[in-house]
This record gives sequence, C-alpha cells and structure tokens, in this order.
Amino acid sequence: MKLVKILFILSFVICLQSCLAADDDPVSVPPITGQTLDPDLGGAKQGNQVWVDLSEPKDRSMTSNLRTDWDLGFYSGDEFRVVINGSIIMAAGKIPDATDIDAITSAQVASLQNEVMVGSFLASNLQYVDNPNGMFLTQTTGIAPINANDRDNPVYLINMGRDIYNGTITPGSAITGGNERGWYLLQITRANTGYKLKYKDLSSANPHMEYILTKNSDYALNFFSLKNGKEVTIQPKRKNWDIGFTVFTNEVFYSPGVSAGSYVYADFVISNITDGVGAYQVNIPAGTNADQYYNNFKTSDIDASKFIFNDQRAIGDHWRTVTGSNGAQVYGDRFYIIKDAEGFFFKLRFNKMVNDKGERGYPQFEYEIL
Amino acid sequence: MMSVLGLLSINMVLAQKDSVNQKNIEEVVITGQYNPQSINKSIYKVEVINEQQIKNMAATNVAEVLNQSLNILITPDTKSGNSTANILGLDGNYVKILIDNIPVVGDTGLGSNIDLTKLSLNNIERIEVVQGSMGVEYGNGALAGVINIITKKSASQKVSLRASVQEESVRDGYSWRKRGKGRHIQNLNIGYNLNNNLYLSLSFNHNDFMGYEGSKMGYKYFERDNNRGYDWNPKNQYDINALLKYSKGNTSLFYKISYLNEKFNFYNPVVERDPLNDGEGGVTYTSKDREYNTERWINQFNIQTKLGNIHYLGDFSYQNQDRQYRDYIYDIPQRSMRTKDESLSYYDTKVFYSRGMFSNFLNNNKFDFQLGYELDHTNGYAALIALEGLGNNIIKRKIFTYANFISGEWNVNDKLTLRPGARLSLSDRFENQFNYSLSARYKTSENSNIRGVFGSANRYPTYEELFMYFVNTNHDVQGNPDLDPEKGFSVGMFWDQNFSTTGNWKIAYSLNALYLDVKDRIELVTIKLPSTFKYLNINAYKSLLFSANVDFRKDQFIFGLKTSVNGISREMIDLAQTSPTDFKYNLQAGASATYSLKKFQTQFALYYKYSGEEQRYVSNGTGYDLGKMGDFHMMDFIVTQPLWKNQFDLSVGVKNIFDVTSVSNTAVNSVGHEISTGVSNLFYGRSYIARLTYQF
Repeated sequence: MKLVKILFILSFVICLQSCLAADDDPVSVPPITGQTLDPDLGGAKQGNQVWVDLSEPKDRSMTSNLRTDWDLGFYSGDEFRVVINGSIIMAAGKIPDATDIDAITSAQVASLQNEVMVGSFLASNLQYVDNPNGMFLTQTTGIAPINANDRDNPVYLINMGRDIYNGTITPGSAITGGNERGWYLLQITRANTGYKLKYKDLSSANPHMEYILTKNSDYALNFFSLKNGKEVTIQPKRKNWDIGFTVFTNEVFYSPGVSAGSYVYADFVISNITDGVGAYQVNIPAGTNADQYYNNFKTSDIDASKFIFNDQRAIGDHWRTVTGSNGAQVYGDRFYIIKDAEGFFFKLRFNKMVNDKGERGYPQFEYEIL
Repeated sequence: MMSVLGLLSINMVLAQKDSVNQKNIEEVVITGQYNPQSINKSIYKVEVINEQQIKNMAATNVAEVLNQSLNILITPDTKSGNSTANILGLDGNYVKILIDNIPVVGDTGLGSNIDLTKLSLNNIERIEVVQGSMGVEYGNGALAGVINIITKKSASQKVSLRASVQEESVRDGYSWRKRGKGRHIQNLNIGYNLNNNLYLSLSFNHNDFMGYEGSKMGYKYFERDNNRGYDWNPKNQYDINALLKYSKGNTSLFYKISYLNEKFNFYNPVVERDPLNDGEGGVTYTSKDREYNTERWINQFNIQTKLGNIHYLGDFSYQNQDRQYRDYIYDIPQRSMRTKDESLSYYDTKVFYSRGMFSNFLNNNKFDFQLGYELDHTNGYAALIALEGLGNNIIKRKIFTYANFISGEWNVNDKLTLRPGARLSLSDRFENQFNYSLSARYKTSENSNIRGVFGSANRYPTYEELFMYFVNTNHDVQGNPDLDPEKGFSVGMFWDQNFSTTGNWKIAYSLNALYLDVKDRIELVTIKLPSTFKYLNINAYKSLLFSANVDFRKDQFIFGLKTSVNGISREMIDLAQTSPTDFKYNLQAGASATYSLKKFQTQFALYYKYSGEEQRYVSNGTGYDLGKMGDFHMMDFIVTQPLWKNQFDLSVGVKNIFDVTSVSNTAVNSVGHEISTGVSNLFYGRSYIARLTYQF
C-alpha cells in the first residue's frame, strides 16, 4: 500500500540523517609543564582573601583569611602609615575641625556619611579610600600620614563597609557586599614604637576605646580589627607572598581619563609591590595558538622594562571580564610574567574563574618558574 | 444579517467541494469576525497569506513566512533560540499570536512573546495578520497586532495524504551527519473522512536545523577567544497534531491536540582550560554547554452551533508549555560529554482558556450584536535562569482574567456598516481594564471599500519587568511588582479597490494609514545616578504607518508591489534627561511575482523585500545618541514542477539570494553588565533548497 511505502521512505530518511555518525575525532592537547593552583575565594560571595607565594611548594603556597577579619593595616616600617580594608568596601573621611573623639555626635557627621562611601560614581569619592595603586607610603587619600604632633591628627569618620554576603548567588554573578557594618570614629596618634588608636562605634553611647599597636617588622602591615578590638595576622610575613586574590576597591572610569570614582571589583589580583614584586602582561598575538605561544615563552623572552613595580594592579582585573554578552570569563589571549619577592621569574596564566556549576569565585591558574 | 448567514453556509458547502473550485472564491477570514467572512466584507483590514503562497515560499515555520511581510521584523535570539515578531517597532510582547483564533501558550504567558519558529507550517490553511490594537476582540497583548494561524480542518477526498521531504543548505553548509549542517525537514499529513460528518486528520513534522556557524567556529573549536559555537545554534523540532471534526447541519465541533518537542543546543563561546590532575600534566579544554528542551501541549475544543436564532461559537482549551534546560560540561578536544546536570524546568505555563461568543440575537439583517466572554487561568512559573538574579527563588504567577465584551454590527444601509465594541477585563492581579473599539466599513462601489478602525488594548507587564533583580555593591537594577498594564490604541484608515481591465488584467490596490499610540509604557529608568534602575510606567510611544499595495493578475501571472513608511517616536524619560521625540522614519518595500507555464505547469515564484535603515535614540548615560539599524534586501526564488500526474511536486530554489546575515545595529540599549555587540544576527545567509512532495 502507498501509505506503507511513504512511511517507509520517511522513516528511512529520518534514520539516515540521525544514524550517520558525527564527524568528530578527538584531538590531543600538549600537557601542562608547570603546576596549577586553585585559590579558595569562598565562592561567589568571595569571602576570602588568598595570599600566594609562588616559590613555595604547592601544598604550602597559599594562606587565607576572611575579608572581615581586619579593618585597618599599620605599616611596620619607618613611616607612620595606615590603610583601610578596601576588600570590605571601607571608606574614611576626616571630620572637619574635630579633635575630641567623644564630643562628636551623629548629627555632626550626618552629611559626611552621604559622601564617605564607595561606588557613588563621583570622582571626588576617591579621597575617602586608599590609592588603588597600592603605593600607600606616598598616597594623598584615605588616612593621612600619622603626625608626630598628636593634636594634628584628625578624627576620622569610618565607613566600616559591608559584611560578606550570605544569600544565594546566581551562577555567573558575584556579590561582594552584604549588610552594612556601620560607622566608627577613629583617631590615630603615634606611640613610641607604633600607633595609638582611639575608636568607638558611632551608634554607641559608651566612651571611646584605646589600643596601643607596636610595629612588628616581620610583616609589612600589622592588622587590627576595630570590631573585635584586637590585632590579627592577615598577610604572610614579608616576602612570603607574591600575589593576592581579593575583592578590591578600585577606580572606575566613565570613559578613558574621566574618572567615576571608587568601584568594587570581584576576582581582583594584586601584586606585593611593597616587597618588590613586579608583574606584567604578555598579549598573545591574534591568530596565534595560545598554548604554543605560552609554552614557547622562555626566560630570554622576558622584557625587564615592562615590569610594573609601582602599581599593585598589574594583573588586577585584566585577567578576566564579566561584561559582554558571553558573561564572566577568563581572557585566553594573555598571560603574566612575575618577578617574585625573592627575584625569581615566573610565567603565569589563568585557566578558570568559575567552577563546573558556573559559580564565580573559583579561580584557577597555572604557573611555571622560568 | 442574511448575507452573513448566507456566507457561512457557502463556506460550509465550500469545505466539501474540491480545492480547485475553492481558489476561485474569495478568501475567507475569521480574525475579528462574528462568523467566517469574505475578506472583502471583513470589518477589519486583514492581510492573508494563504496555503499556496506559503507553499510557494517553501517556508518551514511561521517566522520565515512573516519575514516577507512589511513592517514585521522577526528577531531571533541566539541564546534562547526564540524568534519573536516585531510589529510597528514593538516587540513580541505587543503582538498576540493565535492558532485557530485562540492564543497560544508561550514561555511567559498566553499569546504574547511567542517563538514563531515553534509554529510549523505543516498543516496550515492560511495566516491572517491584522495590524493595530484589537483589545476588544483579543484582550491584553493584542496591541500592535494579531497573527492568527488557521489550520486545515477538511479535505475533499475520502483519504488524503501528503508527505514531503525538504532539504536546505544553511549558507554553504550541508551535511547529513549527526551535528552536521543544513536544515532537514520531513512531514506527513493524513486526512480521512470517516463518513459525511466526521473528519480525522493526523500530521507529523520534523524540522532539524543544524545551526549556522557564521562568525563562529563551531562546537569543536577550543581557542579561548569567544569564537567557539554558532551564530545560530542548532534546533531540532518534532510536532504532531491530531484533529477530529464533526459537522452536521448548523453544528460543527472539533477537537484538536498538538504536541511539540524542541531541543535547542547552546554551544558556549566561553572555553576553559581544564587540567585533568592526572599527575602527568594532562589538560583539556571544556565548555559549559546547555541543552534546552521544550514540550508544548495544546488541546482545543471548538463548537459552532445555533441555539434557536442565536449563533454560538465556543472555544475551550488547555495548554501547557514546559521549558527545561540541562547544563553539561563538554570536553572539546575529546569530543565527549563529561558531566551532565539534571534537567531543570525554568519556564512552565499551564493555561486553561475559554471563550464564548453569542450573536444573531435579533435575527435581523440591519442590526446584530455579539456578546462574549473570555477567561483564562494562567499558572505561570519562572525560575533559575529565567531572569537575572533569580537564584533559587521561584516566581509563581497565577493570573485569572475574566473579560466580557460586547459589540454591535449595524448595517446602516447597504454601503455602510458600523461596529462599536467594548470590553471589560477583570483580573485578580491588575485593576479593571476597559477597551473600546469602533470600526466602520463603507462600500464606495462593488469593488471598493473604505475602512476606519479604532481600537484599544493593554499589555500586562512581563516577568522581567516585575521581578528582575540585579543588585550588588555597584549596581541596582530591579523589577517593579507595582507596575500597571500599558495602555494603547490605534486608529487606521484603509482603502482598497479592485477592477478588471479590457486586457483581462485584474488589478487590486489599497492605501492604508495607521496610527498607534502607547502610554504608560514600561521602561527601565535610572532612578539614581548612575546605576540604580527600576522599571516604571513612564514613557510614551507613537507609531505612524503609511502603506500602499498593488496586485496585478492575468492568467498564470501574479505580480504584487507593496511599500510602506513607518515613523516611530519613542519617548525616554530619565532622571536628568528626556529623549527627543521626533518621528524617525523607516522605508520598506516589497515585490512578489509568480508565473506558471501553461504547458508544463512549472511555477516560478519570486519574493523580494527591502527594509530601509532604521534610526532610534539610544541613551548613552548623559544624553541620547542616534543609533541605527542597517538596511537589507531579502529575495527568494523558488521553482516548482508538478510530476507524474500531479502526484509529485518538486521544488528547488534559493532563499535569501543577497546572502544577508547580520545587520549592523547600534540601536540597542545596554543595561547593567550587558554590552551590545553592534550587530543583529537576523538571517543566516543564502540557502539552497529542494523539496519533494507526494500527495493524493
């Protein structure tokens, strides 16, 4: 019968089209010559800061802390310099004409509270954060150098930033800030071998607290938690870290050269310029096989003039993108050359920024000593 | 009134006669009519694309057919695989898609934002298009226009069968392998008249589109440069329809069930380098690919009968569309799937729908009125990847809408017919909505009509507008659960005339003007500089369309020309700035020609459309730039040869002769982290087609 014939021909055609195997023979990929590391940033909320020492064996190369473990960092060298924790989006503003921390009322700082913040897209807000280049010894923003004359040290209104977010996050997104951590008042003066802190919670009726912090030169920065009122160890000892993964308060631009002020970045990588670490980016020419280009890169290919020693953002956010129609991804067309704190050269490239589920905060990189 | 009834009976008789005769009778339309009506007598200006034209175009889905119409732009979304219709510059949320006069279920609701590639042409009698607001007849969403797809429900022979195989190249690609190239279509229709009253039909359709790489390098490529994947990802669809129709005397009933299964593969351009941790430095490259599976069921029961004098037309429908996705890690160099997640549902819509229309209460040919109700209970669900920022939250939206509508048809004299109408929609979510319409047809002569049509309609907010959530330290983009429906209306004037010349040429032409106005338009607005956005009912939108068509027919020759100018004014109010609201005009033109050789019956069909440059203001944050979408020419040429006593039909042809792929487009806003790419992948270039049809 005709119908049977037709059905037969149709099913034959359908079968023919799905029975021919796809044309896909496996191809081989050259093996990794160095090693890989998977810093644990704590997923898409990026709750951790991770410090990496490239010259250590793999199992000892990383240490980490929660971003909220510290609020202030005090320089242990000759200068009296203090940094705030940009990873939790803190900001610090001088309260005009204030010298007595206990005399300051909430009403007095109400208008300043509208300015001392990150991400308000005003170029002027950069004055309330540390210079994102990391050259805190010469910076003119954030907390001013601590003056030898006690009376010349102002009281700061401290925006304590944000807690680590604790909700669920859509794969592909990162949420860098949770609840607000409130406001503190802070005044710092010099003590013989360190710093003297006076601080209080703005919303508290209690008088201020004090703490004497002695410089410990094993570490570049000595860290302090205002919330817990105690010193904490955050970064490894001097020269024991080369790059750090952290949420980061950076500067953002409307267009090249037109600043939009401070802005928070996830997946940020800083280099330890305080201990002399330098880094630069190598761009793989378009149309070249990235694997080959990276594998062929030798010590003799290093261009020493390109190392960046005066900006901790040589890697920064340049290794990945989160804009664009394809979503968050690692740039495959670049890798980095790092001169570590001991003077060794490494090449380093990023493999991933998400896990198998597509969740942010799971970077992976591979590196090799040159 | 007698004429209307008369027509109805002619219509029923027609259904029994053979199809050759049918072509000689005027076309019949149902969109916006009390009863099926000849296109000439229709109170609305209805554009019809009939079966023959569809066949001539060798189109494979509704999207391809409508691409030939002026002022309809089909916009495909590479990521979801959906193609929706823009009419008069408004997107798929403003266009109501109907199958057999009832709205069809989609991802996000009923009738709106429908993927037109999910509507196959396998068993279609005609497609009716009405531009303008038809809220009284079709309720919310019928704002820019209505597209009504009418399926075949009768056959002249005892047993009829049609089977066809169509093969298309996709640009230069054609291969029969799995994950190959091209487009492969097979379909089969069987119609069976069990007796004089019962008709049964079954149809099956398979449309396997293997994707178009375009600027990309295909799924096997693993450089980390965003070039992996496809400009048009592959899509494989099956659909099955069954119809049982009973007709006797004044009563006809049908029950129709349709099932669609669609698999759409998204090949991710993002490639990761992925060490195997095998201790030997083994490494591979992987991508997170995604497979979308959609299932759609449509049940429709339709009844037309007379209750005394009263003509009753009732529809009852249950529809469900479930869209699921499944992510998997694909090891590209190994060409193998590594891990596969479970399949998760992210859009699920279940709809119960009913409409009843009663007319001919007075049984009087001077005046008739129609009473109707329309209700739908839509149980919608959006989760996971449906919206930015949804996370594990699930949006459940149940909307019950009940509407009553009434209209009167007054034949003032044998030249003038007036039809005023009104609708009240009640819903458990939004305030009561009122819609009005007033249509008039004036017969200036036997062969000429002037129509004036006013209509209003609303559009309900979408999931995205209500529930979108993209909030982090630097950004705050949020939906607004308090949004109201948008309100719109249109006013149109249409004049058409046809006559025959001494040389036996039949000439028909029409002149049309349509004005469309939308207020309380929902748009994402900056509420705090520079990155706090919220959806608000704020803007106004105006569209002005002038068009003219002319058709020439003689013997085996048909030639049509059409042209239109569409002006659009979009208001965009933002915190510190308001966009200019001057009209930006877009020119479109089209031509079609068919000719059949008398002796060999070979038929030649040529379709052409030109879409001029389109301009629109786009916010740049501090002001407005004039964005542009480039112009393009579309042309298809198809030759069909009947063979072997007309039992076989062989068609060969070329679609998209000018090889248009992407069109430059800077008229797109970018919001949040999304950045527009500056091009729209509207087409996939030239394709060669061949189709063999067998029928008896």
